[in-house]
Amino acid sequence: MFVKFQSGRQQWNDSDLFISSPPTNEPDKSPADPHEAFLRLWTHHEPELRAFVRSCCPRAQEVDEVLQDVSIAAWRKFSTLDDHGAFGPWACLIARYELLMTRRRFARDRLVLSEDIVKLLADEAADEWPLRNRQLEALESCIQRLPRERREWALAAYARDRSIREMAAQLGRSEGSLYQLLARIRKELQRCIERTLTQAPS
Amino acid sequence: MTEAEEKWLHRYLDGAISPEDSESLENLLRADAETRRTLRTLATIDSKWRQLAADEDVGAAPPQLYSRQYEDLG
Repeated sequence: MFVKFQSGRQQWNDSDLFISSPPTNEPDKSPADPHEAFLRLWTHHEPELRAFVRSCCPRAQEVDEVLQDVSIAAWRKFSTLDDHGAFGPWACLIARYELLMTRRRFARDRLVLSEDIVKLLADEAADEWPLRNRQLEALESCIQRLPRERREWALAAYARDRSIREMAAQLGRSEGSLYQLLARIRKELQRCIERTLTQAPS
Repeated sequence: MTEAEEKWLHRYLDGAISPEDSESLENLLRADAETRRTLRTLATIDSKWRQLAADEDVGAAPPQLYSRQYEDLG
């Protein structure tokens, strides 16, 4: 089970959170068992949450840790969520609080965004939750359409146990040239997502 | 968004942004909704790659393999 429980962590007041989620027209198909309902919702929305947390975490390695804290906090508050159709934006705002707490732990770190920016990013991410879902769907097909060499190189560059510095040394290239290539691939995918969403019926 | 501003976003996601550029990027993010939207899109792409790499466990790929792929990319 991916949800772990810790003691001694800072607790929030219910009033701190966006508990009364906006009603949706989606029929409530939630399982009666709250554990099962939570796991299904978490699994469904985890890619969007991961993307949002990544936007606020300059160190990609911290994303898993923050997400785990978000899952714990979301589970603890889950019984207060009336509308399961609004789980994604609700969990996004929980992530905002977790990110702010993480930020306070690393407040002296230059690679930490200011609190006001984290709040802006979170509020807008919650508002555009359906867009993030469509972006992720478009991204799947855009990655599949990349030339094989480009796709496999990007996967190697993103491998968890290898840094760009190590890769550059092994290739005899500068780190900068590898970062440029990664940026080119991301920009290519960004354009592909935009094209795909423009063409798709809304 | 200028090319230099776009570069800040990529360097930020790579964890390789300088303190000076980081401060400039923060000012831009604070002021410009379009930059924030672009950051969220690029972060979506970045997190997807990381997830795919983790799922496929490509960490063990030998340097010769990605070296050849890098050469193919020119």
